[in-house]
Amino acid sequence: MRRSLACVLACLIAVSVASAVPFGTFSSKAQEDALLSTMQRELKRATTSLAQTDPSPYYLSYAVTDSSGTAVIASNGSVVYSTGANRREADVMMRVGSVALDNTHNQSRGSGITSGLLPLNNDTDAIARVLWQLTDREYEQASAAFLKVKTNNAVQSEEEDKSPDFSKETSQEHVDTSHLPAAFNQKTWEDRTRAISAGFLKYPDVYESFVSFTVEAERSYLATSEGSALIRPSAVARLVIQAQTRADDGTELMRVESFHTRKKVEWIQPQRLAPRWTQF
Amino acid sequence: MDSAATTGASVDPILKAMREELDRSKSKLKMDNVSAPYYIEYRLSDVDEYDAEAAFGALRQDQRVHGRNLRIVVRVGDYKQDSYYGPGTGIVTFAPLDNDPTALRRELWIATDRAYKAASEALASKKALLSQYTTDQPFVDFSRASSIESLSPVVKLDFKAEAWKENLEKATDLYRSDPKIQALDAYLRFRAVNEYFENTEGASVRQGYSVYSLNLSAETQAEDGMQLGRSPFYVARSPDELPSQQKLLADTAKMIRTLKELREAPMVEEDYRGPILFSNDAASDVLDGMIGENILGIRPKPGGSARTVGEFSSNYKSRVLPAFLSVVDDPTMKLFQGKTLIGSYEIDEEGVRVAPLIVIKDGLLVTYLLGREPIRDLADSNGRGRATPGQPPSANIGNLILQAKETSSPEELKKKLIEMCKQENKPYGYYAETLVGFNPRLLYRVYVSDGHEELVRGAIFNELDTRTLRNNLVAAGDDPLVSNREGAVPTTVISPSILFDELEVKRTDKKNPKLPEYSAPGLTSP
Repeated sequence: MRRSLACVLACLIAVSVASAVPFGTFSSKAQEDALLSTMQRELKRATTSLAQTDPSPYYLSYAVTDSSGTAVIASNGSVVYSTGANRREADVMMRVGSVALDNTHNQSRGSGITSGLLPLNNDTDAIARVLWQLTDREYEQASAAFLKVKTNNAVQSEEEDKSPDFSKETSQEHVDTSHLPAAFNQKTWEDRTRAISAGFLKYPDVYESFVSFTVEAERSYLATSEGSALIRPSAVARLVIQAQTRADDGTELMRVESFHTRKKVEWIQPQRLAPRWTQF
Repeated sequence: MDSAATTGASVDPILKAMREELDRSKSKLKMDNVSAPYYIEYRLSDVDEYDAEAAFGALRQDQRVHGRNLRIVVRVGDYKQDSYYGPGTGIVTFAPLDNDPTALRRELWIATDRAYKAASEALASKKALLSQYTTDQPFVDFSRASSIESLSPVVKLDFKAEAWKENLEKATDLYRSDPKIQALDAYLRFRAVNEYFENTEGASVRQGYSVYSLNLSAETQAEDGMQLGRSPFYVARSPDELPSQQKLLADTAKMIRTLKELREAPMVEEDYRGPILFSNDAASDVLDGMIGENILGIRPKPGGSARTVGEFSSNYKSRVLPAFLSVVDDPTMKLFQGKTLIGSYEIDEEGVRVAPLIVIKDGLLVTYLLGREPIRDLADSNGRGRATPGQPPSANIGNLILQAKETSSPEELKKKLIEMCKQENKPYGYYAETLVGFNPRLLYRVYVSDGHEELVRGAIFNELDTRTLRNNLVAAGDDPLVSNREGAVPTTVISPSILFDELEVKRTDKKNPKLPEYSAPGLTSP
């Protein structure tokens, strides 16, 4: 794979929403959402059960990202990649020990999280079962890491940085169940991306180019043992145009332009972008 | 030359664009102070793939992806010594999904240019490396092949996604039947791969294959914490050959029952050394891993003195199996006892037509499976240069078959096992039904007194290796099993049950993890 193209494509395919954007009205009815209420119920059960263990967690959270995305890449006026997918990813985050010293201390940061895929639908039995499975795995790694952290602290010289490993926060509730943009029509965006890419064909000196369009709509869920409950929707669309040429002395020259929007996806039209070609 | 294929490049727009660009590259590609390529090949792989996965009765993945990639190889030098080394082994890039000849030729043009430059650098590096060794290589870098043309029909996926998603959900919903099942997943992958190949020797090939696979996986823990799992799989050429919903549910229920039996099974004793019977399923794993891997004629790195990288590197024309056994690789075979073989193909990914080949004859290793990279004593490809899309070809099996001169029925093999145990004054022997890696997953004691079987757990085989195959394999069954496998390339191994006169069984020393810290969540419905 060409290195430049491969790097950009990898970034685009793995593109995630940079930050959440509020959509619509605020709702405090966390219990009405099947996914959030299952997360809360299973979190409560885990917190209560694991309180009996030694060492026991002082913090546990479930974060779920429910996303749907589309990615289309075109080169030389032809589509080279096109896909759409829905995913629900869960992160179980656990801290064993105390705020002052826990399992994530120093090099053990990775022990604070275990991730996995959740069911795409709201089958509450299956969601609870996967969360239980991930929580048990996370406890196994977090408790083992905490014992190692304590041993290391006991045998090593005192650390200069005495800041705690975590901060305690008051609980927050923000439940926004407003609608996300409807699923994008793959065919429409294939045609659009192809047409934008075809704009380079009239410039023979541009020997390599590609145009990529990605759109991702997601709803983030968070339930914590501190009592926080969040649902935040967001969406982002991104268009990246890249072209390469070479000077007479062989120097490779590359230009990249990217367009990023969270609302006006329809703005990405071939005719609107045509003037950019001359500039390129 | 295939009569049906003589017009391949003229009727297929992809082959046509590839041929036109190949001819242009061949006539025009030449840098100052660098010799022109002596060989160029283009391989376009079109992959249409559907993946779905369910756990605990609910779908977690559901995605279809269609992609195309191009692999371009430019060789500088000559057949005796060329640039196929490091960066000179090829350039891979995306290819247009639309059958747009302009876009395709443009991708080919720029990638060929890169591959040519990489090849010239690779040849210089390779010459510098080989100059450190005093002796010349006893083989050329690239074997010659005659031109070939073949145009097979384009392969397409044909399945009903909704029905298969329902199958996955219903099968994994059976976790409700046993509260001690900790994980229950079902995963399917359906793929249609069409390959388009052109080279400067005149090869022009279009061929494709489809693979439909379904994997079940379940885990549980015994009271002492021992982790126990089962992972049956099904691989076929068409969805019709996969289990029906009824059969899939029955197999999943059986898997859950077996896990319960395993949980309750006694631990294996500390040590056992004696006769062991392998089912045809377990034997197919042995054939694949211990014979299939070691008969590949894969050349070591430049400067290496071994014939191949496998365990049979110094066994050419030597005994590797008992004299009553032979091994054949026959990718031309499409069916065996009515079952489709997914390891079938006609032409490998280097444009060489394949033919049946006896690799081990009456126990003697008579040849290796080869692509176009020769090894010591074997100069020509036998059509085993196989490749996964976008990857370089490498020697691989197609349909690997273990054949025995004398065979016994499974019942007779069991009688033989008992007879051998009697002679050694052993109260029981062992029967391995399935393996994981080269260790038993379902292992039964077979009692000499009345032949009854008892499942045990926690066993590993000690010293199950190629030497054991050569010296301790004493009988084979008349029950060959077709085992289709979806690896880097689709393969099939066909093996009967096999009986060893001596093999060591030990108790695993793996530490058991703790049981879950708290119970699984309750169910809202039964």
